[in-house]
Amino acid sequence: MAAETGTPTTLTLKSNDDELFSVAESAAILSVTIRNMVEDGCAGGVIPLDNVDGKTLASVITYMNGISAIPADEEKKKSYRDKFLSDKDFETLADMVLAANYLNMSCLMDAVSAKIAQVMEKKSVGWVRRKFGIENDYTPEEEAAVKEEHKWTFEGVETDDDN
Amino acid sequence: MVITIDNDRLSELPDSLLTHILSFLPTKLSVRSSILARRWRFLWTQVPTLDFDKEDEDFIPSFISLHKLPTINTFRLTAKENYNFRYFNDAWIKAVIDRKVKNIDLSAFKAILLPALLFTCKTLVDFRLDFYFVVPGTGCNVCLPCLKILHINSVIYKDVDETLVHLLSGCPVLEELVIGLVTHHNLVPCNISSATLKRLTVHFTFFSHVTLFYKHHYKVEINTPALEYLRLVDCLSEHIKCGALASLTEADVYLHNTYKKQDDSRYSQSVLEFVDRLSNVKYLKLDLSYCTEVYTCAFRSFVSSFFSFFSNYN
Repeated sequence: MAAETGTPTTLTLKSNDDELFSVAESAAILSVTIRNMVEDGCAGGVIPLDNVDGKTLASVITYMNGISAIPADEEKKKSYRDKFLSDKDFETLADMVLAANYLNMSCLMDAVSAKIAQVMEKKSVGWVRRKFGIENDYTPEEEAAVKEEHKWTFEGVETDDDN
Repeated sequence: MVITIDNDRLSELPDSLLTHILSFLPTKLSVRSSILARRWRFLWTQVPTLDFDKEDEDFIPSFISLHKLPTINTFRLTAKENYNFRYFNDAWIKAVIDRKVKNIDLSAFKAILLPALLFTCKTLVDFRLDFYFVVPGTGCNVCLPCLKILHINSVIYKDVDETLVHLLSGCPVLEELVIGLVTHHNLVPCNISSATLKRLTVHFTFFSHVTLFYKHHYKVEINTPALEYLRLVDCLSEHIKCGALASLTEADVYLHNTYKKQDDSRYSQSVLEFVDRLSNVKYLKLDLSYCTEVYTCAFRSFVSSFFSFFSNYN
């Protein structure tokens, strides 16, 4: 262990498309999934992460390194998260929320979920359906009934476009 | 009909993650998501956040009863100026408290007395109050055993001298306090005492018309031995008194001596003693540029100790 040898322990993570990544154990254990593997002594060789592709994993590791370098200051961590997510498109955010869920990283999960919500807030129903892969299985009558039931939530809603 | 789907991975998300995402939206929008598809129709009833941002207030109590979850993480209410808060009483707030709420964030636009039941909520961790709520006085039992974060900005204190001390005495594990005293309605002696507090922000400042009401001798008194971070903006006090701050690592202090103090020299002396308490901090931002009397006082005190040294020496 790092504490015993005095040198930082490095873990090797493997994405589901067989890319290998080295990451400091101290940063990687932000993921409870990885931390459990380390604690159970299963992290000796390569850690396979079957649900995360290389592109997403590279991004997650950038986040792990960045956030673990910031001392215990919640405001600085928050501004790092905001900056980290600011240039990510919706598809990347979608991949990251799935990865954060699989890796059990609550801080990343919350930040990405908040960002997705922030994007959704300004979008039309049609846009959200497309981006979330939601098939509208209501009959027109049912849809009208749901809309009527929660009429107050549709006040001032924009037209169903991509913007 | 051709359905174009850009990304079907999100559709694999379990309901628990979808409700997690919805929990970051105002409640109005999470309810609106019921239109998306059958699977989403009742998802909003499982979202552990109730966030009413200037919605029609008559809708709010009935919404709480429609909501299905036995627990609520966050209850947030931002009032409109025309709210009359008819429902805002113990019986109604009990519905929120009974669901083991952890975070409460309320802002009104008028002086509304907060239901006493709020101050005995056993599960509350983060409590934020803004704009003109009235905090009950010492007759109200305060017992917030899990409260770690308390933000109280521009609220009104029922018993001017006692309420703040009484409130803090009921928060045995408090770690973060942000307190803003910014209008004539809510000026109280700023007496902050907590054995567990780590982060403290005090804005003891004013709007210009406050000068009309500036009759009292306000003081800042800080007794927080575990404090690590302090931000103090003080324009009003006649006196600053501060206990030991041995754990303090970061301080951001801005003192603005806008008003002629009753006793300039006493005030300046108290500022110097306070600055002495900051001698261990690693990061210090200290702005006394609008507080020039302090320099005069420091210089006088230096000169007098210089001469007393030589007179003793002789």
